[in-house]
Amino acid sequence: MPHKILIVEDNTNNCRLLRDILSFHGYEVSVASDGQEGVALAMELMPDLILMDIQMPGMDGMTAGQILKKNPATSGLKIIALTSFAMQGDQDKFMTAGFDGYLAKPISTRELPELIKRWLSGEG
Amino acid sequence: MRIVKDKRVLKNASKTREAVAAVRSEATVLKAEALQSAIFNSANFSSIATDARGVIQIFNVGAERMLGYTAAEVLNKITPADISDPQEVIARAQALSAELDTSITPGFEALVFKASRGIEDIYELTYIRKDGSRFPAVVSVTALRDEQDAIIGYLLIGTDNTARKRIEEEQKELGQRLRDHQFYTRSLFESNIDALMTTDPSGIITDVNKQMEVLTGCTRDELIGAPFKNYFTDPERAEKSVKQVLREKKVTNYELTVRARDGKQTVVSLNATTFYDRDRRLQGVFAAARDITERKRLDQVLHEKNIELENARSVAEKTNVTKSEFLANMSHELRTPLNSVIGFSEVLQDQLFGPLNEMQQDYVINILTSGRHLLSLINDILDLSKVESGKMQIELSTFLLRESLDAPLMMLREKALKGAINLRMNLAPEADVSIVADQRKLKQIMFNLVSNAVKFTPTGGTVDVSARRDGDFIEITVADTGIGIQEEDIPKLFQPFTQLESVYTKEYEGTGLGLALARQLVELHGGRIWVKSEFGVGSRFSFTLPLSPATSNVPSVNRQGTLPSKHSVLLIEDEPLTLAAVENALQGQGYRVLKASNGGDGIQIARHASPDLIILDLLMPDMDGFDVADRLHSDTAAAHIPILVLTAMDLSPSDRKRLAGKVWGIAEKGGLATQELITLVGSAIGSRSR
Repeated sequence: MPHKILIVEDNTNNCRLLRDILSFHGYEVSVASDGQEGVALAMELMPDLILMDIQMPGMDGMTAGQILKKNPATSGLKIIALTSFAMQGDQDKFMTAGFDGYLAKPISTRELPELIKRWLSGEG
Repeated sequence: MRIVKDKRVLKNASKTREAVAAVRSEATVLKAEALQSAIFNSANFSSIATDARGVIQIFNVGAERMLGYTAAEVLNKITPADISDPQEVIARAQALSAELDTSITPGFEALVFKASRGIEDIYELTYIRKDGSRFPAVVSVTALRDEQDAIIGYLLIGTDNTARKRIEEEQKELGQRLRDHQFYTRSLFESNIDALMTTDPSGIITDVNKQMEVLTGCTRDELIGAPFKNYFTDPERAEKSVKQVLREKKVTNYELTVRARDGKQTVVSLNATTFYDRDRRLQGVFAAARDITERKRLDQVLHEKNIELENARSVAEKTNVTKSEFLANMSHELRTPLNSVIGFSEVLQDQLFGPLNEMQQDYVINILTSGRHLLSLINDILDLSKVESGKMQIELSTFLLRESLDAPLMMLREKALKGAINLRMNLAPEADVSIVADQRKLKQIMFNLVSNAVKFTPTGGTVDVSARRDGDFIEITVADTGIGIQEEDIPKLFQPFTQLESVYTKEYEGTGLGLALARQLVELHGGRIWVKSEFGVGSRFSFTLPLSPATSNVPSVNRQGTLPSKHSVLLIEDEPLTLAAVENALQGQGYRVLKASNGGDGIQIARHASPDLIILDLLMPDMDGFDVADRLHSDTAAAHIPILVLTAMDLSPSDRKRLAGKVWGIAEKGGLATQELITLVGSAIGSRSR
C-alpha cells in the first residue's frame, strides 16, 4: 500500500509542483487548497504525512495544524510546515505548535524525496 | 452682789466704786503697757517714734535688727532722715513740693510732711544700716498728737522690703522673658512663608498670619471670627478637612483651592493638626496652607511630557509593526512565484517527466540560474531590511569555530578549483575553540567574504582563510591575491548597493549587498569588520567576533587598547560645551565618539562612517536639526541609523510631528542626568537589533 500524503497549499503552482513530484515517486497524493478543507480531508483520509502550507487566506496553516493536533482522532498525524520563514522566531513557533517538521520555501525539489522518506519512516 | 441699804454699806459702796475705778484704770494702763511692749518688741516691724523735731525717742527691737544700731546709739541723737538715703530724701522733698505746691526742706520734714498735715502717708524709702549697707523699706508715718491735737511727735513704722523687691525684680524679668518669647513665637508665626491659621473645633478662624492675609486678600480682623471654609472654592471640602483633622488628629497634603477677595484662586496643600492646652483640652486646629501652584504646574508638564513620550513610543512601535508586517508579506509574496520558477525548472532539468533536447536543457539552465540569482537577491534584500528596521535577531548557539569555516570553504571549493585558485585554511590553535554566536549568520559572512575573494582573484591566485585569537575576540581574515581595491573606493565598500564602478562590474555579478550585510551581521555580534587592500595586488578582509557576546546590547566599559570598541556614536552639536560633555559621558561608557559641529558635516560622517547612533541637536546655524533629520531619513546610506534628538528647545506638537518616524527618540538637554542619557543611548543602539 503506497503511503498517503495530503498537501494543503493555496497556491496552485506550488501545489502542482509538489503533487507531480510526489506522485512520480509513488505516493498517493491528495490536495486541499485551504486550511478548512485541509482539516476535513485529513480527518477523512488519515494520511501518513501532511504537508501544510502556513500562509494561506481564510484558515491558515497554524490554526489548521493546531486543530488537528488538539483533536484526539487526528493528533497522531504527522504534519510538516511549509514556510517562507517570513517572521522572526518562526522556527520555534512551528515546533511549539506541534508540527513534526518544516520545509523552507522555495522547496528544494532534489532534497524533497529524501526528506519525505525520512519523515515517513519516523527518522525525520 | 446684794445691795444693802444702810449707811455702813453705802460708805463701803463708794469705796468699792473707787477701788473698781482704780483697778479699771490700772487694767487699762496695764493693757496699754502690754500693747506697747508687744509693739516695741516686734522684730518684723521697725517702730521709730520721734519728737516734733524728728529726734528719735523710741527705737524698737525691729528697728535695731533692721538698721544695726542699738537704741542707745540713736536715741536723742539722730532723726530717721539720717538713716535714709539722702538722694531719696531730696527727691521726696522735691516731689512733695511739686505735689503740694509748697516748698519743703529736704530732710526729716520731707519724710513726715504729709503725716503732719493729717494725710495718709506710706512710701518706699531706702534705709542705710550702721554698716553702710542698704535695704529697701516701706514706711508708714503717723503724727502723734496731744489732747490739744498739737503734734508732739511722729511714729514711723517700717518693714524690710528686700524680699518683696527681689520678687518684684524676678517677676519683671520673667515678664520680660515671657514677652520676648511671645514675640519670638509670634514672629515665627507671622513670618512663615506658608499661610498659617488656627481655628476653633467648629472651624471658626481664631488666628492668622501675614501670609494668610495675603493669600485671601482679607485683613486679620476680617478673617478672625469667620468660618474657615468661606475662603475656599469648595467650602464643603474645606469643612471636611477640619472634620478629618479633628477625627484623625492630623491631615497632610489635602489639596484645596483658596479664593481671595479679588477672585484670584490659589491651589494649596493643607497640613493641619489639632492642638491642646496644658490640661489636654482640645483648643482647635492649627493649619498650614502651602501654595502648590508651581508644583502642580510642573506635575502637569511632566504628565504631558510622559504622554508625548508614550505617544512617540507607540507611534514608533506601530511603524515597526507595519514594517515587519510588510517584510513578512513581501517575503512570502516574493518567494512564492520563485518556488514555481526554481521548482519546475529543477524538475525539468532532472527530466523527471521526459527527456529534454540540448536547447531545452540550455534554456532550463538559464531559467534556473536566473531564478536562483533572484532568490539570492531577495534574501539579501530582506535580510538587510530586517537589520535596518531592527528586526534582525541574533540566534546564539555554541559551536566549534572550525565548522563555520569549513562549511563555506567546502561549498566554494568547486568554484575555486574551476579558477585554479588555491583555497587554504589556517586556524591558529588558540582560535580552534568553541564560540557563542549565530552560526547561520557566521556562515553567511564567511561565504560572502570567501566567495568575493574567489570571484575577484584571477586564475592561479590564492585565497587564505585564517583565524587567530585576540584576547576575548577571534579575528578572521580572508586574504586574496585578487585585483584589489582603490583607496578612494574603500569607504564605500561596506555600503549597500555600491558595487565598485569598474570594468569588472559587468564580469562579476553580485548583488552589491553582501559586504553591507556582512558588516551588519558582524556588528550585531559586537564585532568589527575592515579591509586592507592594494590595487592590483590583493585584499585582506578581516573581522572580529567576541568569543561570547554580551547578553545585553549596552556595551560595558571599554578596556582601552585590548578590545576594539563596540559601538560608535555620532554627535551633531554646535555648542562646544555640550559637545564636550556628551562626548565625555559616552567615552566613559566605551563608545567610540564621532563629532560634527554642523549639520552638513554630520550628514557626511553619518553616511560614511555609519555610526550606531546619532545624537542630534536641533538648534544649529545654517542647517538645523530638523533638516538634518529629514536628509538622513531619505539617505539610503544613513536612514537606518537611529537618531536621538537632544535639545534645549521647547518642542511644539508640529515640531514633534516633523520628527516623528525619522528619529528614535527626543530628550531634553536641561533635565537630563548623565545616567539617563547613557540609558537612552544604550536603548537606542539596542533597538536596532530588536
